[in-house]
Amino acid sequence: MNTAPRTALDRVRWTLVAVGAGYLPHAFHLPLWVSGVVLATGLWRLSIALRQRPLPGRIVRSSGAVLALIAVLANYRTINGLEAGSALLALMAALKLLETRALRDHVLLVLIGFFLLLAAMLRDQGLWLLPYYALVTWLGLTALFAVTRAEDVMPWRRALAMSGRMLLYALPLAAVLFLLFPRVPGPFWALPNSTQARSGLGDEMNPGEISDLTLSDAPAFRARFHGAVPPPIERYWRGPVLHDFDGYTWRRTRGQFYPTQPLAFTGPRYSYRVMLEANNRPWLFALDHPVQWLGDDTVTQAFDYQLLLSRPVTEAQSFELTSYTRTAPGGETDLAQSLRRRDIRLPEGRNPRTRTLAAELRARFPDDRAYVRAVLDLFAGQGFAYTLTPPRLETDAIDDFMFNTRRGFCGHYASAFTVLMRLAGIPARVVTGYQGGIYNRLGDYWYVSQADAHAWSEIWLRGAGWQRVDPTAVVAPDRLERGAEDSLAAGRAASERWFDSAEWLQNIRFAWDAANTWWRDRVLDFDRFKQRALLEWLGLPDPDWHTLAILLGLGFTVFLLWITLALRRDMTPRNRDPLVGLYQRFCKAAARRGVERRPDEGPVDFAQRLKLSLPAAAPVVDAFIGSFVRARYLAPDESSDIEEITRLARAFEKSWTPR
Amino acid sequence: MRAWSLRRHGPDRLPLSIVRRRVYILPTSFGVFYGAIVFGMLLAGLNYNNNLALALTFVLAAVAVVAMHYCHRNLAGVQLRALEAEPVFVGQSAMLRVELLSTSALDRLDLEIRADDSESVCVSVPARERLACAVPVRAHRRGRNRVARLALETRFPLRLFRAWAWVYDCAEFIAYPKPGGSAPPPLAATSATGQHDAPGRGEEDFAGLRDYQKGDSPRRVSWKAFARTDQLLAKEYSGAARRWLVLDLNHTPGADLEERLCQLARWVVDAEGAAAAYALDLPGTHLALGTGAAHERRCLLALALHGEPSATVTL
Repeated sequence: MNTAPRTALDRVRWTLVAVGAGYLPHAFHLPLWVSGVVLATGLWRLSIALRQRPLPGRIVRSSGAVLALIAVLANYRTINGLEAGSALLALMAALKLLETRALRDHVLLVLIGFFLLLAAMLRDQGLWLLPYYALVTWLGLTALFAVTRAEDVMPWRRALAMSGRMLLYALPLAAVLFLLFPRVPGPFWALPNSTQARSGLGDEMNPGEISDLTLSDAPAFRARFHGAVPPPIERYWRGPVLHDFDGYTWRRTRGQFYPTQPLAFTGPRYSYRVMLEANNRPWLFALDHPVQWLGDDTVTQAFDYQLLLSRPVTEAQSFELTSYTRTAPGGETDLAQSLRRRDIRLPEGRNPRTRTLAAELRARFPDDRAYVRAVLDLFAGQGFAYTLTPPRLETDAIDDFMFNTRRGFCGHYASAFTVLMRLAGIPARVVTGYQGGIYNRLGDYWYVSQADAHAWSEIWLRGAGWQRVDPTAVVAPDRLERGAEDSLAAGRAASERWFDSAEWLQNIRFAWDAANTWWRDRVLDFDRFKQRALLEWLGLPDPDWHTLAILLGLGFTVFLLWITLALRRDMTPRNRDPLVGLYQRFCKAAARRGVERRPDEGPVDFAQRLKLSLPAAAPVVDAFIGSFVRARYLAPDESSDIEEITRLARAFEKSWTPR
Repeated sequence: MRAWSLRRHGPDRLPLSIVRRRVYILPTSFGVFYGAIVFGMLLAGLNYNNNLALALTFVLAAVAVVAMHYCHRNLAGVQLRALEAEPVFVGQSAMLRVELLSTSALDRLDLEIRADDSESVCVSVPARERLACAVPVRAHRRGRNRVARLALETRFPLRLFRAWAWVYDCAEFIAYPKPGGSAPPPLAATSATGQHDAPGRGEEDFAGLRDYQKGDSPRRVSWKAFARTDQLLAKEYSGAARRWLVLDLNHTPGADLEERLCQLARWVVDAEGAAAAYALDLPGTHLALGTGAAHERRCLLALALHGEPSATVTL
């Protein structure tokens, strides 16, 4: 196609807009050099277009492509996966920019811009990005629109307006497709795992680790109770259970199977929905103790009652759960020997002073319950303090903590307590998870953040089964009532956690989080189950693929009818001449006074008749009709004084008061 | 196709409204490619179970449907007001003057008009306005040429779809025989002075001024006289009167009629170029001695229409 330089420049500009807008969200994630290359090639291409220089030769382009491939491989060791794929796509788009001659090259680049947008969407689906994504879609469509014009260059405002209009027309059909397109379960091919590290509870616990977590406001999950909500003291969300201790670090048991001790429950049943954040771990946090679970992924319960998923949570997922918070005596009377052995095992020769202490206490309190109480009293009395910034501990962490520092948080206390239990022959383990949560009344859910990470102990008592003991509660009772942060002394370093701030700020945060949760729950999590629920809500019993197909066809037909009519209406728009509008207003006002304009009556004749019926209004009628006729018929090319005519029309309307 | 179209739309007469039922629409190859891209996006969205990606996919798919309606609407309601072309020689392209009218409050962007074997012409017609453009149409044969089929099409917007309407047999133009042959012209040496002049000499002897006649070449207009008197006068050269020739089909060499007509066309063009007076004798037609563009036109037209069934031409 023979294109004038102006058209060519316009095409280059729009192509750059499409590629640039699609790339921008990646700029924050991809290495800096990728952004550098994309920016440099973009500017280069623009200057070539502005100065009408020839494009770089084949050698530059092909060696650039090879270099880009090598650079991506060197950076990521793969070209598979979202990150590497996005980087490669962006680089190839940048190189393709140097090869844009024909229309098809431009069009291809605009489509690559859409692919970059798609990749950005796969990476981040936050609500705050939605306006940006919408804008990029609009810009991309406008670029496609402008680039595919055959003839002249359209002003960018007009191109934006026309493509925006098309986009608006397309939205209803897109919504129909979104709601009714059959959703399929599961991925067709394996997803490469994201390399991004995400914060959250790990499968081991060092002294100090959880305190890093507690500084983070990031959400761990949200929970919405259907009905009753357990009291704060019972809101323990169970996560990884740690069995193995090497004197410093607690670890989770992997790949070993033990018989599950059955539990008996009492108290109310709580049913709730957990909306889990991506954490790259195959764990589901459930209120202690879960009895029922339902979700997209297969959920299994480990022997230590932790809920496990079949694969790591790489994107937000929701589960329906039911839990009891209180156990009742009457579980199996004896613990399996294999599990008992594991849960009293301690490393030889570590923490000698604690060993001596345990032996002394055990001699004084042979009864298990009395011994537990004695250890808790020890924590309560001996100058132990709760802090999120504890001193570093030596290799024999428990000794150092019990006899020297005596300052720590949940991890330290749970660890020390569990060791003291094991030293007395009582099977014990550390349970990590979350405790508490903040209620968001706007969204009606509990927001559990990383700051609510917690660790406690579970001990086996003969006749009672596994019992939760939270030694932190003894040291800082407030911790359970009000969360980790609040329980600290007021003089502690200034907190940056948001729920400390002013109420209005808190409300904004609540609203934003509620909006995000709604977005996540209703839009991002819309799946075949919710689709089914939607159809059932529409009154279709037992919907299946046929129902969907029929509804989809119906929706499509309705859309086609609507768009046909809407576009036909566009072709004959209402008369937008303000003069005609004013004249119609005038006639309406006259009709209200009983003088109706006949269809065959022109403005001058009508004015004559009107003046006869309403002599009082004659001056206004004369003035209005005079200036109307002058503006519309006698001198239509001269700029007429619309404001004056409007004033006259209004004067005529007002010159009459209803009786 | 023609018969089917006749049944469906009736004969095409001007002014011709491209009504909705005349407009056909199919995806372009880019449209198919776009569909494949959207399908790929759909797979990615379903695979990653990513509702945002699916939403983008559905928006792009819906945009294509909307574009289809836009494309169809862009053509429906266009009116063809005039179709005419000046005669050309066989083998050349006649410029068919096509006048388009947008009958509604809609700008018709990127309309392409194309005769079957020629390049298309692209125009945009503003709302409620007329616009004329020249569409090349190849002249294949001597005489009357019908424009068998004219395609009015558009790929606006986005080039995903091509909507088109066919207009059959609604224009004709005349093609002169292509000047050909190399035989020397039959020189009738009867000149006023009995002298034989080489072609071209006659241009040099200025004889005087006469009234301008329609068809005189602008080169022969005396612009100086025009500036003085405000009257259009044509210069006459004495040489022109000295040379004249009679072109007779029956005395023209050539293998067949067409070749002889081509030869005659060549002589007519050459004689006009040399400013000689010439007469044309065809069976049934006699054009007396004359010169000038109008005469040339008349002669070429007679050659073009020689043997055509209805040779009555109003000039």
